[in-house]
Amino acid sequence: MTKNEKKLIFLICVFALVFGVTQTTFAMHIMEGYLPKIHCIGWGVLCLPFLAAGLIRINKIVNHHRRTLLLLAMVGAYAFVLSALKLPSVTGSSSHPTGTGLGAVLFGPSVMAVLGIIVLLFQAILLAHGGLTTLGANTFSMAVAGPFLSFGVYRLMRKLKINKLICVFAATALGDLFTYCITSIQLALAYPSEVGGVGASVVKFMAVFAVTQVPLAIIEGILSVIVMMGLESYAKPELEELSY
Amino acid sequence: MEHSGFLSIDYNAYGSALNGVNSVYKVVFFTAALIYGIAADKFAVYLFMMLSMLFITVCMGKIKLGYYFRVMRIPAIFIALSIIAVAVNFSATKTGLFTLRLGGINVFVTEKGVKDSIGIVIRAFGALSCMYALALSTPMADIIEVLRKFRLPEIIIELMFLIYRFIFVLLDTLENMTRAAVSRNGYGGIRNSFCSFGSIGKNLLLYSFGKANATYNAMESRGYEGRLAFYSEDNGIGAAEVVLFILYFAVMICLS
Repeated sequence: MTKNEKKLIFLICVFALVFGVTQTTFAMHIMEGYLPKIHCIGWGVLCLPFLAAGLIRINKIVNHHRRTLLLLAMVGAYAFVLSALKLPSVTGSSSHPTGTGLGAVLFGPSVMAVLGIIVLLFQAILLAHGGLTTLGANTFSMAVAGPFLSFGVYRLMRKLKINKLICVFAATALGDLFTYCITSIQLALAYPSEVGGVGASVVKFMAVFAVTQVPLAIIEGILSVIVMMGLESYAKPELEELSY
Repeated sequence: MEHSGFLSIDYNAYGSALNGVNSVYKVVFFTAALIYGIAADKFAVYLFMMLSMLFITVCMGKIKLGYYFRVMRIPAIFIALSIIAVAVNFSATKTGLFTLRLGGINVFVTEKGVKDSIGIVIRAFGALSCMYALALSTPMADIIEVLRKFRLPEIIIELMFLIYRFIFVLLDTLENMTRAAVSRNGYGGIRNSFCSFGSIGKNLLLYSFGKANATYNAMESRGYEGRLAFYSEDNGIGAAEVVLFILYFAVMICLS
C-alpha cells in the first residue's frame, strides 16, 4: 500500500466508526448553540408568516369541527413518536422519518408549520434533538420548506392525473430531500468555506449528511405510501373529513 | 418506568430536586442565560455557562453525573459530522496544516478551520448545558403552563397539552406493537423489517385516529368547551432566588 492508500483506508475507518457506532437517533436537527445569533433570529423571523397563517387556519378548522383539534394533536404526537420507531437499519446509524410530508398532504402545509414547531420544541426539551435558539432554523427547514414542497408536488402531480400513491411517494421523498438541502444551506450560510465560500460549504455539508439523508428520504417515501394505503382502506371517513 | 428509557429527560425532570422551584423563574432564568450567552458570544461566558449549569443540574438538582453525560452525548454525532464539514476544505491548488491528496484534489485542514471547529464545540456545549439545565429541572407540563402565563394563543397551549398527553398513549401502544413484531421475528431481514415497520406505522396512525375520537367524546361529555385546565402547584419566588438571579447575570455581564 502506498502512503496515500493507507490514509484513505484510515479515513474510511473513521467514517465507518462515526456512522456505525452511534446508537442515537439522528435526523437533521440543527442542535442547540450551533448557529450564531443573527442566524437564529433571521430564520425565526422567516417562519413567522407561515406560523400566523397556520394559526389562522387551525382556528378556522377548529371553529367548524372542534373534534379535528384532537386529530391534529394526535398527528403531532404521531410525528413525535415516529422518532422512537425502530427503523430498518440501512446506513448503520439509525435515522428517523419526520412524517411532516404526509401531514402536509393530509392537512395542508400551513397547519404543519404550527404542529411542526410544537413537535420540534418537544423534541428539543424531551429528547435533546435540536435546540431552543435553533428552533427557528429547524422549523423553517422541517416544518415550512419541506411540507410546502411536498404539498406543491402532490397537488401538481394530482393535476397531471398521476396515480395517487406515486404522488404520495414523490411528494414525501422530495419533501425530505428538500428539507435536507435547506438544512445544508442553513449550515453553510453560518459557516461558509474558506475556499469557495458558501457554495463550496453547501456541497460539503450535503456530502457529509447525504450518507443518512438520501436513503432516509426513499424510506420515508415508501413508508408514507404504506401508511396511505392503510388509511385509504381503513379510515375513509376521517380522510374525507380532512378533504384529502 | 416503561417510558423512562425514551423519555428519560422528562422522567428525570420530575425527580429533580429543583422541581419544586417556581417554574416561571426557572424558565426565565435558563432561557435568559441561554439567549444572553449566545448574544455575547464569548469564550469565557460559554465556559462559565458550562460549569455553572453543570453545578446547578448535578449538585443542586441532584441529577446523576453519569446520566448527565449520557444526555450530553446525544448531539455529539451532529457535532462530529458538522465539524468535519467546517474543518475540511477542498481545493486543486491550495494546501493547509494537514493535507491529503486524493486524485487531483487537495483535501486539507487549515488553522482557521480548526479554530472555528473549537469555537463551535465550546459554544455548542455552553448552550447545550443551559438547555439541559432547563429540561432536567422543569417537566414539560410546567413549561407549557408557563407559556400559558406568557399569553401564547390558547389554541397552541391546548395543542401542546394534548400532544404531550398523546405521546404517552402512543408510546405505550408502539412499544406493545414493536414487542409483538420482534417476538415473531418481524425484524429479521430487510424485507421483514420494512413490512413490520410499515404496518406498525399504519396501525399506530389508525389507532391514534380512533383514540382521538374516543378522547373527544370523553372530554365533551365532561363539559369541554375549549380550555383545558389542569391543577398546578407552584411555589413563590424567594429572596434567595432573586439574589442568585442578579448575581448570576452580574457574573455573565462581567465576563463578556
